Amino acid sequence: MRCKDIKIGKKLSIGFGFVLLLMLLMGLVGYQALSRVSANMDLYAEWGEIDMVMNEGVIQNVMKLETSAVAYVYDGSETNWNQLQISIAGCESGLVEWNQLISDREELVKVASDVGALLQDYKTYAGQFQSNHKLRKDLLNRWDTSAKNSLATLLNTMENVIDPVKEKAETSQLLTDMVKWGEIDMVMNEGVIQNIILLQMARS
Amino acid sequence: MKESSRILFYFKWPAHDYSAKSNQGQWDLFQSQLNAAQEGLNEWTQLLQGENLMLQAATTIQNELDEFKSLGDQYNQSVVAGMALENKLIESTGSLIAALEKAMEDVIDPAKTSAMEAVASVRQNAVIVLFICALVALICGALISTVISRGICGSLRIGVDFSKAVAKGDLTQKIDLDQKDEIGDLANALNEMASNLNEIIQNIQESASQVASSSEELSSSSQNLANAATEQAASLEETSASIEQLSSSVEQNSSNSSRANEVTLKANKEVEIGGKQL
Repeated sequence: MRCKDIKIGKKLSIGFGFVLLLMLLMGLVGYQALSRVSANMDLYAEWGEIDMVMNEGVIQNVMKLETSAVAYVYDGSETNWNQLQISIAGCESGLVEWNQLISDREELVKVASDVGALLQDYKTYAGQFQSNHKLRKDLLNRWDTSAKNSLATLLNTMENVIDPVKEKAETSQLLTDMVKWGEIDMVMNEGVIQNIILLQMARS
Repeated sequence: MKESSRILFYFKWPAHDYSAKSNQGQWDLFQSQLNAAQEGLNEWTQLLQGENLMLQAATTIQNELDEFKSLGDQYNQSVVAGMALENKLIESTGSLIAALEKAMEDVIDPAKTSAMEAVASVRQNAVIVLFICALVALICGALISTVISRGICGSLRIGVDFSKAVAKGDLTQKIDLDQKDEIGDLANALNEMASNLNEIIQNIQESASQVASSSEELSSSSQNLANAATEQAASLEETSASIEQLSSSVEQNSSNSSRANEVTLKANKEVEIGGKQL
């Protein structure tokens, strides 16, 4: 069939139909592109949320944890211990929220599991550190008491034993006794008391 | 000396400042000071031979120094343990952050980058494909419209030229289109119309010539008829004159009859009178 033999209506229909087909094709391509862009934007938003929760819910809390830990290690106060516990709870809460977002992403589930294990270790270490801190505090007190007792014993000995004997020797004017107790006093002062005071300073 | 020793004794530094690890020099100083104190005590004890009371005090001091030393060792050990735990805490925090940063670097950032790159790539491809489609549509549309308009307008122009020729009276024209669409049908119809018009005009011409000859005949007949009418009018005039004469004669006769009637009536009356008189 020649083109000339085709009816005008049919020719126009074919022409408009072809243009319509191309428009439809363009529309389909555009729709498909938009769908793909939308899907990828959704994916990006999903990863963005994972990123945001990870940053705000976990990393920031870990940093707070670090700060709290440093503060607690510095002074070992109950306030800082409580702050450390709050930071740990914040980390755990952030991790739970993060876990919900990444439940279908195997590569991150393992990371979350590792982070959870590390957090548990951290809690254990923090607990051990608290015990150690209490022990140190106790030992320090005992150490202080021991030093205090040593010095008190020395001072007591000096006041109650040596000084009266020295005075007695000085009163009696016995040179040998005066030399002897003077030496004892000097050795006690320079050899023992001074060294113990220096020892205190060294301990501090 | 007592006062200064008490001041020094009660002068306490924070416990955490002391550590065997970070202040090894201080710990060494402490140890050497401990040895010095021990030596001083030993020297002092030697001087106290025979002084039981003093020896008892020296023994007490020795025991306290031993306890002090033991506590120092314990404290040192606990400080070392504390430092180890501090290190573990720091390492744990570091490990936590490192694990999270690694996840960010290895998984999250690449995924985000990949998604953004996919978006950019899809957008770029879509623009290219749409541009190509638009170009193809433009070219195809132009081609199709050219072909269709030429197919329609070319044939119509032939039809228009033909119509103009027919309008000018040239009925000998004929459209030569070999197509079977509406324009082909129109061309056929126009050809037929021209042919029919030609035929009609020929018939009209023939009829006109016939009418002319008939008119001539009619004209001569009319002339004859006119002549006859003229003659007839003259006859009529003559007849009319005769009728007028006849009429006057009739009127004369009528008046005569009237007079005769009157005479008759008069005679009749006289008869009656004569009868009555009789």
